[in-house]
Amino acid sequence: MEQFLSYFLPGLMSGCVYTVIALGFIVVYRTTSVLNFAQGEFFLLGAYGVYFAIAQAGLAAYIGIPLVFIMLGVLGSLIERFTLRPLVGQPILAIILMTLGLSVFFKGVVVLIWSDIILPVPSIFTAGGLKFLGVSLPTQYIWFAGISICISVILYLFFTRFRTGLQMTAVADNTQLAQSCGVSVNRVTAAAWIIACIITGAGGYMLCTITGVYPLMGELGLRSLSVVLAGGMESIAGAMIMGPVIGAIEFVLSGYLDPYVGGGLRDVVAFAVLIVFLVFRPQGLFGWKIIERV
Amino acid sequence: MSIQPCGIFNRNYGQCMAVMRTTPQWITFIAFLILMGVLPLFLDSYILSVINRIAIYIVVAHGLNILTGYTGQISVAQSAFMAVGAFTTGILSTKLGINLWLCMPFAGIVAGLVGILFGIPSFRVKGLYLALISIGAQFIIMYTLLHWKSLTGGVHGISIETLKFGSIEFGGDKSFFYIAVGTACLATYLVKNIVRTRSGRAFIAVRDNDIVAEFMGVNLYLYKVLSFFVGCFFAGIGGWLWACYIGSASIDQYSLIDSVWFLAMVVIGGMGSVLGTIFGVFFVEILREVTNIFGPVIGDAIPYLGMTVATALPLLTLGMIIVVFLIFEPRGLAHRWEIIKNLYRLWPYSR
Repeated sequence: MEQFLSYFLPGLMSGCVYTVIALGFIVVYRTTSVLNFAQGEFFLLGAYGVYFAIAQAGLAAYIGIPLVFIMLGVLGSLIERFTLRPLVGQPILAIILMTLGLSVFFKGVVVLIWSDIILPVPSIFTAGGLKFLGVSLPTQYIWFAGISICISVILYLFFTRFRTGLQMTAVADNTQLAQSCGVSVNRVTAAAWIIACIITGAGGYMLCTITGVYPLMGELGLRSLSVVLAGGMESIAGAMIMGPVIGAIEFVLSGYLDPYVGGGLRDVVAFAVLIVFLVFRPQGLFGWKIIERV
Repeated sequence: MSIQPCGIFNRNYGQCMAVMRTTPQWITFIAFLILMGVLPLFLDSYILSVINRIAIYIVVAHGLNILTGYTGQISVAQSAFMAVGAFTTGILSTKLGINLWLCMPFAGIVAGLVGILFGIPSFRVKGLYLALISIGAQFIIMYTLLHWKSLTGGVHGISIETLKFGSIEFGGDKSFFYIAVGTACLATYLVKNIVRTRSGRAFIAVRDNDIVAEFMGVNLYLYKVLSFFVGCFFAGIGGWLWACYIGSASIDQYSLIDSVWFLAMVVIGGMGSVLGTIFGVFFVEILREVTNIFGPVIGDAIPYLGMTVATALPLLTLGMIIVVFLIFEPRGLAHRWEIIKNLYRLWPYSR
């Protein structure tokens, strides 16, 4: 039981980071029906940006980190304006390939500036441990859980209470109707991209304070796609619940099975979950749209 | 619809369907074959290695073109299926001692069967969701190949002996040229004809409107599975070629980015066009060669950037090219080629 808990609890908490990254996917998908595969690179840019601001440029954390996230938001809105808006009305493959191309491009940018070595990201979270139910938990994980719950709750309120959030839901539901009711679709879309990029960058920063950052981390960002799918492509509550669940599944499975399969199971469990969900329940647990079924 | 020169009349269905219609077309075709026969005698091995790689990638991209371009099933896992072909070759030839030539169909068939396995969800979902499944497939296949050490050798891979025919060894770039280009020509011939058959028309119908296709008697499941099989079969053959070419099956060359390269080739060339795929492969591969050459040069010129330019430049250019093509030429090089051809044929009456 103790062994199980020692896998289960850290998994549950580190899964909260998946929730944060998944929320980045969800905000864009809800509003524009674009699943942004370049999200993995925003995840990288968040971590690298903080590394640059604090370790290289020498800014204080409370100036550097907000500055990085503002820059990420600006970048997100530029990308939306100049690469994805021209593709409105194009087939889905064009949009998928566009975001994949952007992800390759930003990976190139990251490699160009910071090379492909592992860099330690300066952490603002207090190090240390905590005993809970006989399991020692790093304090960072508790921070992650807290921050991700905060972000989820804020986003949930934003989408249900605030004007812009409601407009995003309207645009997602029926773009033409929203536009004819006076919602500026362009502005709302840009807002969605800004929010998504900032959230994803924050998630990337959190995860990379533990592992350090290197260009391949971007592909690990794609793992949270399974959280998006399992929770439902549009559901914030779904991501909140499924993030920790999938994190726990990853840790528990890899904890018990890694000795038998030669390690590294954590990297693929999420993708297996993704495929299982797509086959048996494509709309996820809490999705509100009826998925195009064949 | 291509425009034929004056004096070409369709007297029967055979003539109407024929690929080669005019004497100049036949002359160019035969000249091309002769040129391919004698080319290795003149070129140095660097250019031959580039051509070999292009030829191998043409085979793989043809498969993806059938799957994504003609049938409309998006796949971002083509390089993983190529890896399946390569490792099948390695396992069969070293563990079971099967002749390398006999491994070729097996490599294709095993890759095709794995493709069907990951294509089965296409019965239930399509579009974006299928793309997600293929990304999952990419990671799961590569994980399996990396961690099933007793079978695949893990990170070290499997080394494969040189391809032999009688006493002729196809080892170097010069002799392998004939294998690679020959297979590429054969694959082009096959694809060109597959899309003209009943199955090919069914693929196109599934892509354009699956409900109508089903209504008109196209068995949706059968043709989707068939399309996955054919697409991944070509990837497997490409994997066989690549494994024989570099003499080993290893997991380095088959990452997600390589799959994105293949998808980019098909889209840049023009979806659903055999000629376009060839254009796309040439364009992307030559671009990659150019960046490989210029990367170190720029790195020398601007020491501040250092040697990372060499790794970053291909990624930057590929990403940039995808973005530019999708915005400015979404129908690909094949479409541009048609415009140029018509311009030339109708001159001086073209615009």
